[in-house]
Amino acid sequence: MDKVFLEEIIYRYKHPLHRGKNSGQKIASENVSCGDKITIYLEIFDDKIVDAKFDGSLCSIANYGAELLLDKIIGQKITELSQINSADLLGEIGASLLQNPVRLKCFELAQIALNELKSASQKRI
Amino acid sequence: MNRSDFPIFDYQPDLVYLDSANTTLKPRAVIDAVRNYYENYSANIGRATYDLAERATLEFNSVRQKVADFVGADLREVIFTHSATYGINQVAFGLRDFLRVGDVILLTEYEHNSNIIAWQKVAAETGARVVFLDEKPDLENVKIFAFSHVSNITGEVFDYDEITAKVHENGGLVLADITQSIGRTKTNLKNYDFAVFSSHKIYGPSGVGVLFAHREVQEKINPLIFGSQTFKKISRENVILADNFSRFEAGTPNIEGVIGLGAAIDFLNKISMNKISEHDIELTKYMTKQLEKNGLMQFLIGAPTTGIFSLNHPKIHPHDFAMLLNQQKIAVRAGRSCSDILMQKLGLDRGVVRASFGIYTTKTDVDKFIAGYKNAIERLAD
Repeated sequence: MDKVFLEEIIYRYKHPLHRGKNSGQKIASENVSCGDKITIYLEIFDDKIVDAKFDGSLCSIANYGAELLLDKIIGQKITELSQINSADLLGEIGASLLQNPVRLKCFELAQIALNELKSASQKRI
Repeated sequence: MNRSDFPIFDYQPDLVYLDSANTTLKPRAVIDAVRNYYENYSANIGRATYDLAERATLEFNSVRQKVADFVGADLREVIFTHSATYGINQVAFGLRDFLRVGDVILLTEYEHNSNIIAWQKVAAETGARVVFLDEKPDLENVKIFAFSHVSNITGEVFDYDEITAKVHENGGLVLADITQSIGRTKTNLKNYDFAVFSSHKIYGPSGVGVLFAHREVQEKINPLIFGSQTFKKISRENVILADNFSRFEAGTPNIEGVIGLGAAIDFLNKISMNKISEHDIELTKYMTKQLEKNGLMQFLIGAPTTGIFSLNHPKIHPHDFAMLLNQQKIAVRAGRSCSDILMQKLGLDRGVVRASFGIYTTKTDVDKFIAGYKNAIERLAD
């Protein structure tokens, strides 16, 4: 793993922007192979995510995945969420993680939780 | 010790490999033996009569004797399988007819998942019950006792001589998983009915395991699969299976893997298992001392007497330790290490960081691990 990328992961782990709770809708997921758990809290108004937080028991990469995901989705319409993918979230700096299927699973834990919301919203449509 | 025998260190001289409980690195002698088979006599065994095939058959058969001698077993008790897991499954499902409703299959909470799941499945089929040792069961109804000789998590040695004797008294059978002990200490099969191990954990190729089945109980287990080389007589109407190990070895075996296993055993014998055991004990003591000296004993699980150490930090994820250690070319296992029941008992859902030794492990490797572990705590703890 590239040193700059590693430092970025550790920085967001120690200085998270979105860790916490709010009173919004809760979605959760678990990585059964390693025991990591995440809960995402979404305040949705008029089909738009106006605030999002997460907490749980997470490794630094799962934490990083949640941080980047929430960076992206806050302010987005629920209908726009389907366009999110790991390659876009990771960008050039984190592209090496795409070649590491075990740790990519950690990174995608928050996205898996979000998928629940996506499928629920698709059912509504 | 013997680091120069392992070519991987020629390519990666800075590698600190502390994952030998997962799989061991391969010595040149094993690599050469496998390559030699491919290059010089890669014929099938036990079938054809030309020179190449005869040589392959001889080399393959000689390994059965080497394996038997290595643990003080009889040649006829050695069954080649694909893995230790396959061996456990062969015994468990092979004993379906032996088990009755209400019989107890006794396991310990220290088992590898492979030594649990097969028994759970057989119990479900037969009406037997799986009970763990920490439930303190009455031993009267125990029909099977299956345990690991060395814990793949805590590095502790478990002999269970008294339980073995009691189970035998009541007509039960005992299986020892010697996967973690056989490459660390001189192993004796004692009076176990069955024992299993994997070649890749004693410096041999993967894809080969060994099941020892004591001659007196071998006929109690039925083969799981059938095929060529397993029968004495065959007709259009019927087949009579061989009455020795052949009936458990259907199909062309992993010939090069078995030959590689033979080379691994020669390699270990050349060094001597006494020396290997001394090296493992010395490193285990050194690691324990270094953990004490550096204030890390509070994170240690159990009390290892062989070279397998698992650590749990209450705040830092095992994967994060492994990630930072990997940056320094230190390879460790992180997670539940295929021991979910023990992790549940310990309340360690995210598992542990495990550092395990091999014959190439040095005190410098231990020092680097300790320094790397401390550095990770400094970097990641609040």
